Amino acid sequence: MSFKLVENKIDDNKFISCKDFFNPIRSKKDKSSPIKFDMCEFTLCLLVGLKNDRKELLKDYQFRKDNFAQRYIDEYLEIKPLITGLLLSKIIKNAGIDRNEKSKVKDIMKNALDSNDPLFLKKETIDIMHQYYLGGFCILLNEFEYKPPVDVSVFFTKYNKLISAN
Amino acid sequence: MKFNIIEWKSVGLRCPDFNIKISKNDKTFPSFIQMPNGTGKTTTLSLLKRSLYNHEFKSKEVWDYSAKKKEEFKKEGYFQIKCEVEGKIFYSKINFNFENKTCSYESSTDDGGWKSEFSLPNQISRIINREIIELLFVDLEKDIKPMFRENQTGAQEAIKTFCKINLIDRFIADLDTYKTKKRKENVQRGSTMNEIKTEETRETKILNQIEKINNKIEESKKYLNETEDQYKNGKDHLRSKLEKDSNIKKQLDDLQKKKEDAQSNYDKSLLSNFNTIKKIGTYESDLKKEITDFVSGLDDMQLPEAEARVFFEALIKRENCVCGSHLDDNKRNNIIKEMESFISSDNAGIISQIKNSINQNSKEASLNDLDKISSEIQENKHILDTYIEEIKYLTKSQLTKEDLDLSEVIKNLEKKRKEEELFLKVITKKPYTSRDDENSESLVSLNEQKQKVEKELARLSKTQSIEEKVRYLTRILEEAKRDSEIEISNEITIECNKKLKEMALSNPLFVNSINENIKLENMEGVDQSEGSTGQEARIGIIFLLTILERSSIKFPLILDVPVKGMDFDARLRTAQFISKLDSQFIGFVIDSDKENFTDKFKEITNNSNNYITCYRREDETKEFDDLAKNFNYPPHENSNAHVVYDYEFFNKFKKEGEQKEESK
Repeated sequence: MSFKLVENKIDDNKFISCKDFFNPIRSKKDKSSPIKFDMCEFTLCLLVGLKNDRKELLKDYQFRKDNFAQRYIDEYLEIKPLITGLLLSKIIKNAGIDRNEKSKVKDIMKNALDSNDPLFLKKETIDIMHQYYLGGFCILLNEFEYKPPVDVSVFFTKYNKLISAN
Repeated sequence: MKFNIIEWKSVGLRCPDFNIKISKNDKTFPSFIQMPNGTGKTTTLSLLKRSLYNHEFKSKEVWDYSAKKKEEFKKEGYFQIKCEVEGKIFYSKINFNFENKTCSYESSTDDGGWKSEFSLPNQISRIINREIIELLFVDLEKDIKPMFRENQTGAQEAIKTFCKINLIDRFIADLDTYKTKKRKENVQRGSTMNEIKTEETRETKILNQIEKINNKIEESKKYLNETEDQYKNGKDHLRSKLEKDSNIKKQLDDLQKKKEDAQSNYDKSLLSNFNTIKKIGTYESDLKKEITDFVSGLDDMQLPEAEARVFFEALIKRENCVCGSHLDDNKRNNIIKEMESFISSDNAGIISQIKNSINQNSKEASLNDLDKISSEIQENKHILDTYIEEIKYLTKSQLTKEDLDLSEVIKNLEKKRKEEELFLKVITKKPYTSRDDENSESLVSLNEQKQKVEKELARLSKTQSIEEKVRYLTRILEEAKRDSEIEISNEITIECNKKLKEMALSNPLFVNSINENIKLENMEGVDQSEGSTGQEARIGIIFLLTILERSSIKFPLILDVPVKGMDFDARLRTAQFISKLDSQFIGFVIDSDKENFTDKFKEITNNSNNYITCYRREDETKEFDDLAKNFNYPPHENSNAHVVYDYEFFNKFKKEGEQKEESK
């Protein structure tokens, strides 16, 4: 399994692709920008989605046909266990399982994790991760009124608010 | 084998109706042709080139060759060249029809007749090609300068062409054709055939894309070459304006330094912000709460419990249980069932990693405050913008309206040039990744994809053995090509530097290496990004003379304004080197090139030389007609051109304003 970026939302003319959204603040366009890889775009969206507990249905969106990575790139290896932990936490919560129900928690872990996958996740869990990624991207689109941000400093100032507000 | 140009003739064209005879007493001595500016040097040079290879003229191009003065315009015209190869004479003629804007070639035949097509004698038809002609018929300014420019590959291509390294490409292409032929002969049926068709379609797409990218590379190089002077001169002009006042220069330098520091602080704060965001748990957020709650929940449940599972895994492998009773299938299944309620050791490993990461980040908790980082970013941005504005304001105050317009042009040029450079240096050279498809702009990736498709085609058509052999041979040939290029480039570098040392000039430049372009260095071996016009002209000519010397075939070398920008010492040394050249030499000169060059050449070579003066006959050139009459070379009254073969006339001839124009 692998990471994918969203291209379109079915029947939504306002929607712009993830690539187009981040394009003006990628390091290629603005050399000050730390957003160098597709993985940066994905992670920024995913964290907002997880933070705001917002998921979107995969079937409502079209992804780019090329997967941008099969695994976490070196720069992102440190975040891999954190993302996995957050996803497990969400799945457990969404299943309505109490933290004392050890056997149910272990079942969730068995069903969600796959130590043979480079992402540590089973396909269904990777799908859930993409649902949160979409949710986060929709929040960003909304925050920036469906227009690509023009200044990387403005982007991060707004982003920090989105990610840190309790 | 020696190939010489003996004569050429132009009639009814943009340049005057010259009939220029290079040979003197049946000998082709080094020749200097003095043609004042506006006489048609560039037109003549391009027609000389085009008469020696089959050029496809576009209608606009044909029209460009027509006479521009209304009274001189003719519906038809021609350019004819007479050459000699191993004592055998041949002609090539380009006929222009300016009414239809078309043109056609005519060539002489062995029996003294003519045929209506472009053709060269057998001895040279396989040797001469467009690349060689373009290389040896040189407009110094247009053709030599790019050899020194980054992003240009003129010097490398010159070596490849002239030293015939390109021949290896033909062998590789032949091998490729052979492989394809064998594959097609091994006809397959049914679904395999369909698979072959699919792969062949993909191969065609890849080949088309390779061609498209190669064309785009040429366009990029052309753009960078064509805009280089405008960009550099514009930048120099603006810089000199700003540096005129030492106080302003100091202020600008100071501001520039502050701006660079501010830029660095700004970049650092953005990077630090992004790295912090990725360290979930080190800043206040719902995410922190969620992940720490999750970990404490795991702790409460005493997860992971890998040891327990490991215990059961070990137990089921034993004959007897820990209590000593025999483990039958029933008991073993009960243990497995119990074991399944524990997470696997692999999953336990994942959970441990999650806990470790969170615990590690918890140690840094409260160290990071995203609000504070946001403020820092904004502050750094504000400082940076202030310096940018101050530089802009100070710059504006020193520049005129025209300069500001120029500044805008240069800014746009810089942006576009950077994009082109990125394409040439990075995009086309990106390594292959499994995500790439036939729309990739990387030649490295496309060639890798091509190889993969070829392998698959060989498998489907059961010609793997041939494919492997061809691949093996191709690899050897490509290595040979690469090694030859490096070795020949090194040899040429050494030979050029030997000649440059012989010139014994003060403050000389040398060739550091010839990779894609000629890289320069000073006497101390320190890299020089560029030389002056004269220095580059000198080294460019020496480079050409050196590759000419390597060839057993003696091609003519034609140089337009060969000593432009050179000081007197360099002119003299260039004359000495040219006098030693075995190949025919023709130099187009103007009055300002004569001092210490053509005169010294005369001294060095006695009478083994040829000095020709050509000019356009107009009202204001009547004095030259009178001068020519004094030298017993009266002009033909109805002709718009005159050619005089006399050294004294050559020396006395001077067109008003030419010196001035040259020194601009």
